[in-house]
Amino acid sequence: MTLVLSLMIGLLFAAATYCLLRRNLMRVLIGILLLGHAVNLLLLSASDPLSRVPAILGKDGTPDVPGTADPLPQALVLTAIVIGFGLSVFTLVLARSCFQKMPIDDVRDLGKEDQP
Amino acid sequence: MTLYLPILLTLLLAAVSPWWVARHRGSFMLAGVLLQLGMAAHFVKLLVAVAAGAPTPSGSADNLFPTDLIQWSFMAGPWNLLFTIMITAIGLLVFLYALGYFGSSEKGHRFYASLLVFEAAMLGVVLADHAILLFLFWELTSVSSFFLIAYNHKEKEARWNALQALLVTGIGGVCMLAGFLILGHSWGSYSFDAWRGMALGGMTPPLVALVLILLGAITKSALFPFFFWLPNAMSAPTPVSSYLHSATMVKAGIFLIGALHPLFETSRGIMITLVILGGLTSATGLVLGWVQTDLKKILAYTTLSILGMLALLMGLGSPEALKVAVLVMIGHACYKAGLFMAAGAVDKATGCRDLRRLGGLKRALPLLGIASLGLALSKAGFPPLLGFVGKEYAYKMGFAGAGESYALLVFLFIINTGLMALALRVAWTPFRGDVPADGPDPSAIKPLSPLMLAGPVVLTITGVLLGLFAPLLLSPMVGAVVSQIHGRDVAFSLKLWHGFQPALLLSFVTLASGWWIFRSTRPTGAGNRVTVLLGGFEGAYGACHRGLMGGASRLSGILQNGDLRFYLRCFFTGVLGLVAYKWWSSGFAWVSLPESAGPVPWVEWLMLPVFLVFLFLIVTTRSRIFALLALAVIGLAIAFLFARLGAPDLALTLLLVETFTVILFIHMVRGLPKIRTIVPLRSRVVDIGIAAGMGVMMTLLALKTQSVQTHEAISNTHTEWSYALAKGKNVVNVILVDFRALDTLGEITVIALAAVGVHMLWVKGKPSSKSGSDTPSS
Repeated sequence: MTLVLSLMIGLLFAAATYCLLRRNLMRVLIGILLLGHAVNLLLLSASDPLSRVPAILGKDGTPDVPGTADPLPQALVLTAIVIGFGLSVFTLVLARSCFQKMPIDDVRDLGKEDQP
Repeated sequence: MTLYLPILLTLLLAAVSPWWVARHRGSFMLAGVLLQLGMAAHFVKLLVAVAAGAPTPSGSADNLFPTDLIQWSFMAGPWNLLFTIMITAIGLLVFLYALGYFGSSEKGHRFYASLLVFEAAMLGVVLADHAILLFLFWELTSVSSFFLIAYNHKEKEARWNALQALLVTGIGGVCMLAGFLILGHSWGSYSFDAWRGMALGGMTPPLVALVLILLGAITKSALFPFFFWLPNAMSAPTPVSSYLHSATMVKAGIFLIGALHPLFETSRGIMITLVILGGLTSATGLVLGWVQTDLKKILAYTTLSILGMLALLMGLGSPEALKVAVLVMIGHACYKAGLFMAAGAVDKATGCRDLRRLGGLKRALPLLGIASLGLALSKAGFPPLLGFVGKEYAYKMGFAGAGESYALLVFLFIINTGLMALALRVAWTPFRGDVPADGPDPSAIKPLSPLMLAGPVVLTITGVLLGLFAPLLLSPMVGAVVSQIHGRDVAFSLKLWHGFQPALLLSFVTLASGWWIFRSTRPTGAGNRVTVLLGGFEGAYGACHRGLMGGASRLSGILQNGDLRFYLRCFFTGVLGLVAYKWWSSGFAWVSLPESAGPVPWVEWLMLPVFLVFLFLIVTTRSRIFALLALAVIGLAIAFLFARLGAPDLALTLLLVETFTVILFIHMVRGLPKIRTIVPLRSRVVDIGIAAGMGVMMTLLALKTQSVQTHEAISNTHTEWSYALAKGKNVVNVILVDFRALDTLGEITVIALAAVGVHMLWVKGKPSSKSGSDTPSS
């Protein structure tokens, strides 16, 4: 499982890096979204133990089965997902209203000068 | 306490001065005068006591700083006290002068704060016993003098000159700090007193430390080749020039050399360097001063000359030379500050500082003229004024020695004669004869505030009194001061009259030839080959300064070129390089696969080709809708993975979030830019390489993460406490809403802010839209 997970993290990072290095604004935006996914998976992969059993307790307040999943990375990832959602929505809307004001889709030209 | 209380009081007055002087100028003036008068009297009393044999006063506050590297400790030997008296007494006169100079205008209000901070810092420099403490005050003098020189900050030249003074003295100061640290580290102490004791006890300080400390001293005292900042600092208002650039700040370097004299004495090379630099500075000041026509500039160059002479005498290092140095320094403090004040008064009254256009003011400003002439004669060494005493001893020293001391005698004779002619030129030319044709109108001369006359007059009288009663007033003091510098007891009794000796004769020859030169020459203002050559040092500074600024802006132009892609490439390559280096330096340790908890089901293996295909689609497609759908698939795949990995909450949340994102995306996809390929293939190959590198690196790191454990997992306690403390069975939820509730609060705030931002942008970007009901919320 760890090997599969690590390979997926690597694939996501590679795709995100490639997209971030583009000059087209849309590709950069996609890169940001992919990077969020990659980091979430990386966080989860740091679980100890990396288990398939959810961290849900039984009636007496102890796990029914031994070796439940590590709850802390999950909590962190949950926070990260929600914040990442806020970030991506904001970025998308920002890009859209920016593009409507000045129709430039080249990141290099965006940074060059302030255009009216 | 009695040593550092004055510093604190002065700082306190500085802090309240801008308000006080604006509200009630009279009481502020009274407070300033009382404070400085009190301080001067206090220090005079201490000096008299110390000279009579009382123990050296010291004061310290232990444990004020939590480290031994800096200590709040002060110590006042005769040499230190001599400086405190000059600082407070001349500070008082300058304070009064400034009140007259600025009048009640708004402009002066922020002046006193800088001036008083400077005075406190200067007192700190001369009283501190701990080297690092001294450095702090030393830098404070540089900073406050920056504000004082740049007082007319609307003039570009004033700003440039202030920066020049700050940079030159600041760089020297940093060198000095390095020297202190080296010396303190190798000798295990930072106390000046201890250092002197060790040097006298036969220990040899590291030469590099001495050279660095000397650099600090020669930049501060504007010695060759750093002399250029001092004349340029004349763009300051006159009260500043007469305080900083005659009596106090520029003498800090001389003070340091005197305070550490036993250390410098251990190295013959350092002493010879001092003599040579001092001689060069002296000659430079004379040569450059000779061709000037601006009153204040001439005074600045003569100050250089005197500073050079002091350095030279310190470098000679014999008790006789040190005696002369102390006498010359006392005399110089008196007459030079007075001459600056007189020059400023002339400037204020006539609006002109050019010697070629000044003359015949003696009828309009008789008192100033008399004071000015008195100061010039003191400087020239006219008996029985104070300057005479110093010069007489200088010549006596020359005649007493043999061989090379005659060379010194000739040098002193030339410098003294030149300085006398220059002094008369500055002090008497504006007053004698008739008003030149192009000079300022005598009837338009503004009356001077009596406060501005106080300084020159008081200093003239002081010069006369100190000269006449020198044996009585100065003898024990000078002896004690020289003993401290030299480190060994030196008996000294001052005499005014030495009988008919060659020295006396030479004094009169100096006076006569100085007068003759003064009468027979006129300032022209024209430079010559030597002055051009000497100007080269300032040119070199300017070239360094501009080169540094230009180089910096070119470098930022390259690094900060505004291209996001360039930054990211640098960043990713840097990360890859660092990790690769770490990997290499650990001997290419291969990442071992952790033991698997069981066989991996085929659906999870299936995820890999799914990822590969859809990620490839995302990075290559030119259709926005396609990209969107592929992104959604990736999101769903990850949610599936979460569900398989015992994280149902994450799977649900991600599902929800992906759904929202897709809806929003579809809603505004037409407003977004199109996907297109901009850069050529060759450039993309590099990016593909970087991306592949990042992918491999992150895969390896993720594998590594799972096989490394530095700490026991803290989530064990979370699981343990979840039900016991929070009565919750879903541990992830309990962590979110209980154990890390503040985190979640922050998260909600972020989402709320994002929602507000999205709403604003949506409404603004779509003015025809009916409402902001499209705003997504979490």
